[in-house]
Amino acid sequence: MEEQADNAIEKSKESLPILISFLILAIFVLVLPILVNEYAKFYKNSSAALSTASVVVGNVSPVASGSALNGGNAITLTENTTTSIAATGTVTDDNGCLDLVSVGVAVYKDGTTCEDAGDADNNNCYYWTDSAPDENASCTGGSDTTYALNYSFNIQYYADPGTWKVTVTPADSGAGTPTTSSGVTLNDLQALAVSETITYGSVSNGASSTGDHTATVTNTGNTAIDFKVSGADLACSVVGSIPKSSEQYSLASFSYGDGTVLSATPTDVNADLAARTSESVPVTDTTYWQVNVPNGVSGTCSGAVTFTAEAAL
Amino acid sequence: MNLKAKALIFLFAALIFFIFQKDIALAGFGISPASVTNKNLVPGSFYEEDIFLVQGSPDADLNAVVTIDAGKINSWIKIENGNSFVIPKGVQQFPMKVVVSVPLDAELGKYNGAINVNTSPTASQKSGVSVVLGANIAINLEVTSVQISDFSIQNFQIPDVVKESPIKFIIKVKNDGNIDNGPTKVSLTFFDQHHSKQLGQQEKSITEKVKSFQTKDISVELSNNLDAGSYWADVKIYAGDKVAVDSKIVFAVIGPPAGQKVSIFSDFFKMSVWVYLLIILVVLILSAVVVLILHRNKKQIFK
Repeated sequence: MEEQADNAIEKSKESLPILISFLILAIFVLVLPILVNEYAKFYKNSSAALSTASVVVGNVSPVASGSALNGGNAITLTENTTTSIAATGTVTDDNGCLDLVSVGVAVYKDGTTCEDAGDADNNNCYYWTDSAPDENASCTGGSDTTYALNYSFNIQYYADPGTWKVTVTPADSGAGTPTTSSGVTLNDLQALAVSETITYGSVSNGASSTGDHTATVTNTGNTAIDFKVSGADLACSVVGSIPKSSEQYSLASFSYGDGTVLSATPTDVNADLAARTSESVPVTDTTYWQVNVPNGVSGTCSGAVTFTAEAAL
Repeated sequence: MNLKAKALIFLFAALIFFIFQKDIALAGFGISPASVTNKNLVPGSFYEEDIFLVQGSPDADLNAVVTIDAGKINSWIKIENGNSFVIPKGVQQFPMKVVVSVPLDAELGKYNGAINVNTSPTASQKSGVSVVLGANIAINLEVTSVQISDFSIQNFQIPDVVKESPIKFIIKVKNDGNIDNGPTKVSLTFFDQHHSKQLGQQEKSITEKVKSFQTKDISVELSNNLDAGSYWADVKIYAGDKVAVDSKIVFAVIGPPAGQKVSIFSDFFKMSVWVYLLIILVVLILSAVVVLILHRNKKQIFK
């Protein structure tokens, strides 16, 4: 019995150091990845934090490449509103995309200075800075060195027509290498917006309208325009119709008889509405209208006047 | 300021508001581009141009009626949508395709005219004088006998490549000349993700051409023996002997292909800290149990 006990004690004594060694080794192997992960995270955070303070030893400047505006396609704007246009590109930072501090994106008419937000102008320069590129979904951290840019600018309807480009400028602790896309054509947009109706009010037979009856015309494109007007007879709900020749118009307030007679043939008004350049004030012109109501008609008379945009000469 | 004065100001402000409110309801319409312009046509040329009919607030279906006013070249011009069509509600940019077919016996020279687009709502007309809108698209054409070679590279890219699949290099080419044309050769030099180690170079001739006055994507396939990862490519696109584009881009090789085994070991190192802690806890508990059992055995033996 005692011999068996001695053997067991001896075996325990022999196996215990091995067991403890194995245990220590297992814990070391399991703890190692934690240390590695934590160190990596600490390094990323500290390098980002240090980037503004000094040049990190071994830093490699980020490089932008492959930029494109609207996928290289011509840009068509929409009248009186903005149009979403995508700027794309890639930024590569050999220290990892988390090392990036900012990515500046300039969309501009070729030949215009557009280097920061201070140059922004709805006519020719749109600027956006991604000041948190490390939060971009394309930047996964770790060994990922690329940041994919895909940002949409809301381009105003009055942005100047011509050749437009995008320049992508990355930065980490230092300035990066920018890239500029090929030029794409931003098409000219010839457009107008007009108040929906012209209201003459109540006019007696044989009489003419009085007071000002207006239709406001706004240039809602990016080129100078003129416009033509034409019309048709006004059909009355009870009896008869008012001939179109009984309607007159002018670019200034007038009394019936002093205006231009409306006809079925589109006629130049010579308004010459310039392209908009102000950020706040649209370009408009007012047309004034009068009508003479002949005898033999009654009821509510309705019809249409057509405003046709054309290039200003 | 007394109450009466405040009430007067309020009434005045309300009056002003209603006066201006009358002019707020605007109908808008436009065209882009505003002309059909081509100075490089030759007898027999075929040319298409999309003119977008645009509305900022397309609140209702809109009838569009198109008339061509171009004198003796009226027969050259067709509207693919027809001369009457409906622009559906909600569509801000409606494409209208203008097709120009220059007859083989066309006289050389300049030709001008206009395409008139008039619109009207499909819904019943409002009482009073409604305003309807239209636009004139200028036609500026020139037929010449001179062959004009004029193309440009609008864009180029390498979409993500699956490992062991060919690399596709896509070039967007716009041909503004009057002969079929395009780039003749591409040369790509591949580098690692740091652009420090050259991995190889490939050149490919391009035989595919873009028809005159058209824009087209030309795809060039290159062999691929790259592992998954990011790479640089120095790109040269040639027009004849001249380099038309000299640039560089980044692209990605993704993988592994379906069916390939993924190392469990590599995944182990990507696990969350909490998983590691849990594993350590389990190991410690098991170790404690083992030590406890050994200790009890020792006690029993001494008894």
